[in-house]
Amino acid sequence: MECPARVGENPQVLIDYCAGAVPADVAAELERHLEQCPLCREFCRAQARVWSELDIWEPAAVSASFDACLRERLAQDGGRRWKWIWKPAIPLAAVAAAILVVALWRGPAGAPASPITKKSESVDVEQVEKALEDIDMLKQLYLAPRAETDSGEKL
Amino acid sequence: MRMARLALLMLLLAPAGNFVWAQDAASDRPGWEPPPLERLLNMPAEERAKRLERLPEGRRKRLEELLERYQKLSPEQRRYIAERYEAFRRMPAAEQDSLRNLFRRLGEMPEQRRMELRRQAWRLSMMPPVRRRARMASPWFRQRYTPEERELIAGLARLMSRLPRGLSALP
Repeated sequence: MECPARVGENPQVLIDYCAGAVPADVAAELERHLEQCPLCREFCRAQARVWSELDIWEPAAVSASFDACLRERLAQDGGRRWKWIWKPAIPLAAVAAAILVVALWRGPAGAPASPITKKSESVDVEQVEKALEDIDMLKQLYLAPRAETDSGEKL
Repeated sequence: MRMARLALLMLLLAPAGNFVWAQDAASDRPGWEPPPLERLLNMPAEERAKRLERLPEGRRKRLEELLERYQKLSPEQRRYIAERYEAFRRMPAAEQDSLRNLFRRLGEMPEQRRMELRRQAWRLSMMPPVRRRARMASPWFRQRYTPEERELIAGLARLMSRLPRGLSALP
């Protein structure tokens, strides 16, 4: 078995093992590995400590006067309340601005050009003539022969 | 903070998104036009007429005739020709001129002969070089075409073989 702590992507297997969330065959394989691997043993020991700390941890109780104190502070500091409104609004505005930039950026390529845009595009007539002559030549070379198949000809 | 990061990510991805959307938009078009033609064809009819009016009469008539022939092509035919036109444009200028010259020489021949030579060049262009050479060296080929015609066919076939050869898009 490859060392899960060294492979890098796989310490999750060890975390799951410590939480008792791996199938029995994987657990057995890991236990065999743990006997030989100090790195994984240490990882599991540390993880077990985290679990035991979490087991004994209890959140502090909220005092009975907490709500009243909070309301009082909010009333005292009315001006600061705008911050509570603006704080989420700023990232929202940033997202809106980003969407606008994306939309504007995409505009010229995705959307059909307006007649005004079309008018302003320069057309090099000589280039058009040359392109049309070449296209006509290719059309005659490639599209015409098909219509003129000669079944009697030997290949 | 997460939203600000999202906004930043969107800004960074905008050019890539634009590229992908632009590709989609291009492939959605019913028929592909070479850029200079596309601009002319997308113009309002009056604007186009104004542009062409400035040309001397002979050139204008020729251009209108070519434009009309082009517009008569089906979308599939346009795509088929567009593929070859793109490849033609990528050829070295000397080879482009060479193909134009051969085509001009072909145009000077009587119609029946012209059709025969064009068809032969097209067939040869579809063959692998070894088979093409063998066919051109065969007594049948030598009897059928004059030395000048053989040279013309060989040149056309060689240059045409440099362009895409797929038949599936042919109408």
